Amino acid sequence: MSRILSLVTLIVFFGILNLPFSENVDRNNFKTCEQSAFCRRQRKYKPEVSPYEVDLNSMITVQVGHTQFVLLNTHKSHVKFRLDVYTLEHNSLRVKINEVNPIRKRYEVEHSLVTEPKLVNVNLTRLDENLIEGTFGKSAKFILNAKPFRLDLFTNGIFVMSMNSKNMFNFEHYRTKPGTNEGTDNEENEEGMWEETFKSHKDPKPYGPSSIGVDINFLNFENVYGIPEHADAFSLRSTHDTDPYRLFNVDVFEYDIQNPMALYGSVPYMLAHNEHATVGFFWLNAAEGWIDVNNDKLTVQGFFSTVANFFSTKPGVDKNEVPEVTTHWMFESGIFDGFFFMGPTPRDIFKQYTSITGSVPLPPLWSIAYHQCRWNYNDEDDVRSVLNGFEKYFIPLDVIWLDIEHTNGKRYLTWDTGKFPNPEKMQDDVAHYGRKMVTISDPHIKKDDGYHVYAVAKSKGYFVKTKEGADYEGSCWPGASMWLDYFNPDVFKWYSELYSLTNYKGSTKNLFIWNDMNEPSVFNGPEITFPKDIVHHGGWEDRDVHNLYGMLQHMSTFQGLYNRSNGHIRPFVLTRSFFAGSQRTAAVWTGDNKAEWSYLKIATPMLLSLSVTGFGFIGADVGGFFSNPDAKLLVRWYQTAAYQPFYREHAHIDTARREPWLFGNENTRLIRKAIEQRYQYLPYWYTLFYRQEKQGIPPMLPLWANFPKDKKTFKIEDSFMVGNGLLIYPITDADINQVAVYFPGENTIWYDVRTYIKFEGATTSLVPVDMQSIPVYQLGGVIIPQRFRRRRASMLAIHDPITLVVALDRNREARGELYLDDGHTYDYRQKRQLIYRRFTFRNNVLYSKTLDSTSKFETDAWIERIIILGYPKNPTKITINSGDKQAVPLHRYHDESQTLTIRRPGPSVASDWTLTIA
Amino acid sequence: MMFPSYVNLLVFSCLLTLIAGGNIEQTALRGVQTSLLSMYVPSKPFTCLDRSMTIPYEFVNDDYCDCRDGSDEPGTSACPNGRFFCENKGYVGTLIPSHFVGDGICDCCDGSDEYETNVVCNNTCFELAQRNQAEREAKRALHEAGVAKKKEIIAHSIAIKSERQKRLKELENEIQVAEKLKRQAEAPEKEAKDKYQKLWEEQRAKHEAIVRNREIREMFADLDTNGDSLVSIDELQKHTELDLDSENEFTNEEVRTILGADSVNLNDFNTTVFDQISNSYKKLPEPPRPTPEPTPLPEPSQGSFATPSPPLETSDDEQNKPSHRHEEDHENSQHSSSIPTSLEHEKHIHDDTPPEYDDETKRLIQIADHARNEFNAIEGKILNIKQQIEDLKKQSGVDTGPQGEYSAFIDQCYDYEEREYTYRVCMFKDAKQIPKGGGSEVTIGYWDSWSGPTENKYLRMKYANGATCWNGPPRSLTVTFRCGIEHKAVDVREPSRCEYAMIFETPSACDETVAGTTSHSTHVEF
Repeated sequence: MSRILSLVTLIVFFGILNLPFSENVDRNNFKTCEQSAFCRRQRKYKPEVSPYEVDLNSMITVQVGHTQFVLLNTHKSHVKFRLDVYTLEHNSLRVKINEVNPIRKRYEVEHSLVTEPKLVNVNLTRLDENLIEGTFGKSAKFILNAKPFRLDLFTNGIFVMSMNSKNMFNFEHYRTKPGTNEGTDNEENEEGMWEETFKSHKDPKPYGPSSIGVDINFLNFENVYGIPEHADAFSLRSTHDTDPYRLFNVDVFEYDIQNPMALYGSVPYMLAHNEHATVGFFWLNAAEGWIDVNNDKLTVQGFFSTVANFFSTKPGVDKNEVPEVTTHWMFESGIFDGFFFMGPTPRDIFKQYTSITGSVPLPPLWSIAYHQCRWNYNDEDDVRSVLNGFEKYFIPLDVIWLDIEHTNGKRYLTWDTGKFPNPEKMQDDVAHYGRKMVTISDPHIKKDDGYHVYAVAKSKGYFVKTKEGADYEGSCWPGASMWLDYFNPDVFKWYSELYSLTNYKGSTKNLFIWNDMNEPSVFNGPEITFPKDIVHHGGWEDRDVHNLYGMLQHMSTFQGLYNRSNGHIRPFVLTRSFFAGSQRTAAVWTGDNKAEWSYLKIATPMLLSLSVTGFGFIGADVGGFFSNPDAKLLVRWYQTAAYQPFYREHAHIDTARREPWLFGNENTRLIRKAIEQRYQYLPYWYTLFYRQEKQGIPPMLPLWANFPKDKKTFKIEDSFMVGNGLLIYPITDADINQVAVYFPGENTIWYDVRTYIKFEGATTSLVPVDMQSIPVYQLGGVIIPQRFRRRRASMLAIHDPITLVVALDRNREARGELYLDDGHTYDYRQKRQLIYRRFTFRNNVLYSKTLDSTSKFETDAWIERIIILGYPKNPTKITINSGDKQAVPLHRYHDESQTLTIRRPGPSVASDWTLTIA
Repeated sequence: MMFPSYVNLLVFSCLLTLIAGGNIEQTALRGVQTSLLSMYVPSKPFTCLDRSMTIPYEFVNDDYCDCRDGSDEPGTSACPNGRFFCENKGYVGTLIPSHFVGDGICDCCDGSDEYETNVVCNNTCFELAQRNQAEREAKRALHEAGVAKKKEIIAHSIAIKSERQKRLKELENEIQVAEKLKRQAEAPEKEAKDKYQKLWEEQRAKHEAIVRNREIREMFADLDTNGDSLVSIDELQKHTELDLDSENEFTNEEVRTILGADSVNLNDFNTTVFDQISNSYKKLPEPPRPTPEPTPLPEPSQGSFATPSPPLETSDDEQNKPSHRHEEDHENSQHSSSIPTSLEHEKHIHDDTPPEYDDETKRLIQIADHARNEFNAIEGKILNIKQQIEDLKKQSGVDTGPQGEYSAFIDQCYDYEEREYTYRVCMFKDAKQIPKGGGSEVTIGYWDSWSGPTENKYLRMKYANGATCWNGPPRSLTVTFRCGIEHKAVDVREPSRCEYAMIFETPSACDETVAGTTSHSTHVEF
């Protein structure tokens, strides 16, 4: 759900009429860089020489892996900065810069990191009067240049990143306001430093300028990715002619695509990839941020000539010129807290980043199946009739959702008892078929003394405050509202307890939660969110912590659901707003998109940007939230999203009903087929999610993550991969009967999953397209576990037999994994009740071996079918051995497609076995 | 996925031995529909029911899907498109999709679909049968009672229909008679009109001449202030209102241009000056003279010839026609105003004095008026009859179902009370949403059509093109009928924004075949 307002509501909320009724976003509601004073200042800061210098004599080793220096601004000798360099495990470096004795403490982000990163030893390999060189991790190296201050980073001997090599490091220290007597220094006083007005909103900026800017440059790279959330290209575009990419959590009504405007969430993390290395830079900062990106060429001379041998140059290319992506990061407050991830492989990068901010925990199985949502399913009868539709049309379904109208007047955690007189019974009926429900719970609390949440929060002073200390009041769905201050640990805990089965009346253990509007959305606030000067727990201005607010809400919600079952059942929370670290407790969707082909198309790059920055459990509303998709668009969306991690159909209250059976028999069939594809591959998805928890590798991946040396993949955003085994090419145009699919990887083979037709790697093929499916290919060399049987819900299938599809590579080899557990508890962690196996096909033998010999999960599931793609001839005999048992399963062979199907090999999925083809 | 046929199935030589897993407790006939039992013969290879393939009988219900149509696995969940037959003793056998088998949910009332899971399914077939029986009986009784009422409605509808037919016939006869009378009245009316017209033209000319002459003399006398029987430049120059170029000065030259000479006598004034100035001319304020101000004449009543005569009344019926006939009226009035009438001429000459009629004229007027009255009366009557016919036809034109079973809805409105709104549907007309807390009502649709599925068009009706929603479509309402004893709206919802759905109970929707279901076969007699 989200925002669209009835005309009446709008008038009430805004008191004016010139509001975003137009086709798309009213950009005037949001600041440009020019309108955001600190961005304006930082963006033009480009001195010839950086005034910042490191005092190498000040160096102290605080502890192993932590070295400290004094950093000075030679133009302002009275201001001292502390520079902390930490060498971290997993080939990473952390650099912090803060003021020494600031007149006001600067905010350091809490809640984002999964844990305090572990330090590792650094070897200082060189130390002279102007630089320090140190090596750490897996052949990573830094060179800290003292005068001027700059930091260069190398991985495997290749120069990859540098900081302040463009002299844009600019740290605005806290100062006293000019004109007051205390002012001791002659600071510049530019307009916008001490107050700024946007539309009718004045930001008084009581603490003055506090922003930080820095250039981070990726040498020898042409593509950078990440810094979500933007409705823009995956490989970030140059912002030379546009505003910088903005990071500021806001509720953008009918957001535009292909532009750098801020959206609901912020992850200040950027990756760079080329055929030699993948590296990343993460600036842990929750204030408003702007990032310029420019594709440059660097002429190698002067200082660089000393390190020129580090450049990887290609024959025929001018040795003195290398590509470089220069980026300029600007945040309004906080400190510089940068993490440099040295890669060098995509897999390393995923591990490195998620070891800092955490990985997506294994979601409950049902939550990665199909969800049906709408603003709104009106009442219990409506819910039942929708469920009956899924029964009647044999369409699998796991979750049905209730948007804001289910509450008593937008008082979350209550029910409109007229429409939902017996919510427990309704949830039980849904759960009878192994299904779940999700209700929405937004962070705005209706100002109403009769509402228990409000009354308690009010009396305990739990709301966010104005700078004068009063409870901050704004408008949202319920009208006058207040916002809980989750930064207060008491509030965080108290809010989480609201989700207990006793406190949340009408909830059952089969009910899960959706946190929307948590940027937060404030209809009458500046930029539709909190004013910057409101105050959170600890005295921090929203300016300092803004981008954390949504995350704290969903973290608290997650905690509540976790505690509800005493830590036995895995929670599920969906959030719209997010920050680095949100992935640990919530799934994320891309907010209020539109029923247009262009939004189906942009979903892939948007999700890829989230994927590579740690968010594996992500999706876009199927069909598009605003307006009505035609049948073709809806079918294509179902087909595409079947291969994207979070699979939910959702629609705005003003749209026509669009349940899967409302578009005629043929479209119903196509949608059913798309959803069945999702269910068929669920064992694979679930295994990928398990791998994500363990290794931080997201299930949805850009092509380069699996084919890092294939340069043709670096800009690809019209196709993506699920795991390392499936290549997906969404169809995002209405009238199209063929597409040019690029098959990545030298010497690879790809099999069309429908026809088993083979395609050669590192080629582009024109493939015909019909409405039956979008093109999906399995990579030769990968074994994908599937379930060919149908069920109405995923939880009813956990003991069903498995089919292995073994796609052979050129060496007639293949590998794959299967993970299984009970689908919804923490027993896989606490009692090690899981099955995790590796299948390997080599020399005409298929092996099943456990990857976790200490684990055990009781199941009837067995291997009912093995399909081997690319097997050259009809075998004479197949035998299968498991322990002391032997069997000779039957098979059939299809010459044309070289497909061997082994009938009923029969072993339990839990056992070791060997299948030999002769 | 691709599903190559078992081309080399017959090549299979060795018998299969199976390892653990795969519950192969074979119950070959499990899940087979009674009528198909003969197709599953344990001693013979099994041919898929779509005849696509023949497989060893051991493959039937061995928990592996061989047949494309799923027919080899009637008793397991192996085939995505299979069907499992629940025997349901004590109730009726039903087919369920194979994927309901062994999913931990009791789908068959005898629980036979969960034979392989450890879910305990109670056998609910007996209760189900009883409940079903009771429901069926209740439904039958409802339909029976409803059908009785429906028959009354149909009978009433037939009576009304024949009444309507009868009346229509009468009216058609009446109109024939009236048309004849009209034709008879037409001739004298025309004759009188023509005669009158001619006479009137003469009278009018005479009268106009008199009036004009009088005006000339009066004006001349006014202008000739010195009484020398000539109007001079000086005398005329006082009348600045005649200065048409609107410059302040009324020059000698301009005055001379009007007079054509330095002065004119009455005769010249008549021929050259009067026509030029008569429209602009105003008497000088002094001295006041007792000439009466011309007063505007009352608007002529259409169709009357002259003021002294009583106006020929148009019938009340015609004047009170429903508004939708305005266009037609307009045409008529245009038509009648094209007949020149004396009054219009009189207006032109700004005179309220009626011409003095001689006796002959007066007699003619009387005759003409009488003829016109006669004619108009008969014409009014015809129009009236035509209107009645039209109304009757419109009524019988409403599609009230093949037997008129929905005829009781004509001109009826029904309300449904919900928390916030009253929904009012006026059948075959419109539907409204009326807020209970005050505020203006909203039309959610105008009668559009019967919109049920082709095989049962009268199941639903549609009201479309209501008030447009903000940011949304025009509102609409679909009324779905179901059998009930009374006409009653029982539910209104808004499943999609501004698309309303009403459920309406009515005897008109009761079904004779349901009412006629004998429940004997299901009565168990001991």
